Amino acid sequence: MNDLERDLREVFHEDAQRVPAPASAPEGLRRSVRRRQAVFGGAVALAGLAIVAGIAAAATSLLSLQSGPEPAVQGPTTTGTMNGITISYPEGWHLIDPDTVGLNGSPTMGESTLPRIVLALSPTEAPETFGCPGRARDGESAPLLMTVQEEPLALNGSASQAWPAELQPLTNVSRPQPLSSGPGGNWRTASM
Amino acid sequence: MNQSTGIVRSAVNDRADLDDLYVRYAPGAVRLAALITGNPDLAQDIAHDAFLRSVGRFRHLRQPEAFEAYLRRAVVNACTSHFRRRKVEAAYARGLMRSPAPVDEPEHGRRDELRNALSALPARQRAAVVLRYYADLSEQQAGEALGCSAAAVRSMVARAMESLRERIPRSEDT
Repeated sequence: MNDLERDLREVFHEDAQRVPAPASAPEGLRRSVRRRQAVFGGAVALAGLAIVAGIAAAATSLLSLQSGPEPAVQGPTTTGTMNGITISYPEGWHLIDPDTVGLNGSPTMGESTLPRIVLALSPTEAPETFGCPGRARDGESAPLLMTVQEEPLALNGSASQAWPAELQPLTNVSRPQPLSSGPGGNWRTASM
Repeated sequence: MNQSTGIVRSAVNDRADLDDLYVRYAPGAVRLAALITGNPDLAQDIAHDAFLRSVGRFRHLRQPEAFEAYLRRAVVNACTSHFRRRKVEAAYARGLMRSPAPVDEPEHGRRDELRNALSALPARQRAAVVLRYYADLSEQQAGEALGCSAAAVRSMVARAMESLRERIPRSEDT
């Protein structure tokens, strides 16, 4: 031990001797402790509840994602048939023949081996849906569009499902989303 | 330390035991706080609050036998928090007014120089020095009280001793 350390110890013990130490517990100690316990217990309980609520909310949201979106409003529907497919869709929407709007390419590509689109659905009419961006209403293209392929787009994966196919929600907002908003309606494939 | 477990456990539910616990541990906590803060009145408040905090959380302590260590840590935390707040307040006050130049105090010997030098140390360094040279804790135990590693304690104490030596040039280590 060096001088400084020894001096430090002496100074500390000298100063500690001069500190008035409590000889007895103050009045209300028990009450203060009880209050502290209640506050701390309450805080722990609240934190626990918050954690449980968070887990429950996360689980609920995950389950709802798994079950898929449902139409917000069951609106009036209509039924139409095109290229041998009968389909129920929201009233006010438009059943569009892909061949007439060029979705299947030009007429000279009729023998193409690419999958052929059989029908399309849109909340706007064909010229507004498939026209140049400047021609679309308010300068925007159609918000929703659904197409039905005659053949699957891919050999495997979600795009490989053969007709008749269950309509499933698409998570990507840039893709067609038939049921999430808009006029609503219960989309249902009827026949081929 | 283990023998205190029963006292602490029963103290939560028994007034007499709680008083005993206070009389047993509070004085040490007050002295520790006084040496770190340099203010006996403030030390009473800090120690009392730390005691209430430690006993109030007793049922949730992972190691009830370590009550004294929990109390010590609560005291050290309260002291360093106090200095942190005071630093913020002082900085704010400096913005409002220019404080008068410090008056040179007459020398009162080497121990007073040491006290002055100690009061100039950063709060955590001072706490580390108090824990090592007053409470006689090991670096590991001091680290637990300060919430840092033993190596950090060693470093803090070394820096504190260096500062003290610079401020007390007459100090001749042996």
